[in-house]
Amino acid sequence: MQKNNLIFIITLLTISAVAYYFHFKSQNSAQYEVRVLALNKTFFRPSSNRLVVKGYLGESVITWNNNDEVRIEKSPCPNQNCVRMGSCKNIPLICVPNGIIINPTVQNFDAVTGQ
Amino acid sequence: MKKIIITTLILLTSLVLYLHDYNNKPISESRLMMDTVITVKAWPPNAQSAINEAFKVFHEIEEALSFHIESSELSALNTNFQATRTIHLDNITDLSLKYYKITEGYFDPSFAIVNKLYGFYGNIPSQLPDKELIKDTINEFAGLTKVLSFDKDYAHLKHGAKIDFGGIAGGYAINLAARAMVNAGCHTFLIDDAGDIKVMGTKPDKSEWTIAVLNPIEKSFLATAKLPSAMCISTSGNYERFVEINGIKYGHIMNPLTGFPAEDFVSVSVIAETPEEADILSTALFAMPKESAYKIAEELSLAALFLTADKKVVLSKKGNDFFLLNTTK
Repeated sequence: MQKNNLIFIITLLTISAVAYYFHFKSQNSAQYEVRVLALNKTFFRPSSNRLVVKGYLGESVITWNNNDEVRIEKSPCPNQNCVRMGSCKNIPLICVPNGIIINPTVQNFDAVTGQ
Repeated sequence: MKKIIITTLILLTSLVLYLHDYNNKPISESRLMMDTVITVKAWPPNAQSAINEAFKVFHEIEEALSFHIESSELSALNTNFQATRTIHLDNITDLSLKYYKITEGYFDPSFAIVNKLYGFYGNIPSQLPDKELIKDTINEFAGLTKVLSFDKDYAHLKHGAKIDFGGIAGGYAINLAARAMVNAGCHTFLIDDAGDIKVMGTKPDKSEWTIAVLNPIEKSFLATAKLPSAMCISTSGNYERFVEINGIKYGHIMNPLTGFPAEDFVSVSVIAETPEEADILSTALFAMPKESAYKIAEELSLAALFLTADKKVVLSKKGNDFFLLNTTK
């Protein structure tokens, strides 16, 4: 085999190996992410850590703290159960009256029961 | 020429691997239905169409069995005390009557009439009902076998009684949704109706189905449950649905013997072969006094996990096979 061909093959294999390494690494690392669903729209955590979303009844204010905990700070719902839940991490928060779902990607688990 | 062949081979291999990976990714969808959030997660093939079929089933069950939708079959029964027998009404009443007997009345959809006295349905402001009123109401209107009857065409409810299938409708809907998904050609999925969960099939990475059980007091994980394919788990608790009266929270699951909210447990999780069984039995065990709940769990050979009001964690014998307690704080 010519030297040039050998270098060519090694280069290709190296590029492939590096690409696959990062691809599988990104797949296997359980990235923590919170999705907020409101009126069939999906929202993510903004850099300001404060998200205002419109639901069936009006606007809900969702905030994150430095520990990645999320809470519903304000809600137009009558019973305020969602607000009383306080700050949570890894646990879904739901406001049924205003139609807000805060769904975290739960690391290492397929689902959570008892929320 | 060699270079071209090698490059093509590598690119083709990459493409095949990428497509294989792409085809193994699940699709997940959450919707607010049946007064809660329902999440369906499915793996190819036919994941999206199967998810759509599952949500169709949930919609159908909600339309038929909702306590709150005025046009539902259940509302007809609760309002007119008579409703035409339909497949869903027949199925759910059959199941309810079966488990009403098995749990010796601790699972009782007719107890809605007592919940109503507390203001759980928003019909009146939340209030602590008079003890005599609770007693009289139980004597007159509670007890599924006492208030529900059938003739050839109709289901009949005793005048003044109310039924709420909230403790079973979720499980029933999950079962039908799972069948719909299999019929749609999807064989690996998870259906989660507010913590009533059914898993099916083997995930592409062959990893076990792992469900976290929440500790609602500490907002941490109490345990993890490893579920084999086609198994179900459900957790009942009084921490989410409650009324607050004079600063005290009263949960929605009642002890049918006393008419007061059950208070021996914070949560009860049950693993079973059907979602209905898991749903009903977690509710029934929660409603029982501790000793009765432990006894019934062993008699029925249930995999159960109890978090008691005094923060003790108790596993049934079979529970040891499925639950792994979280020992980290």
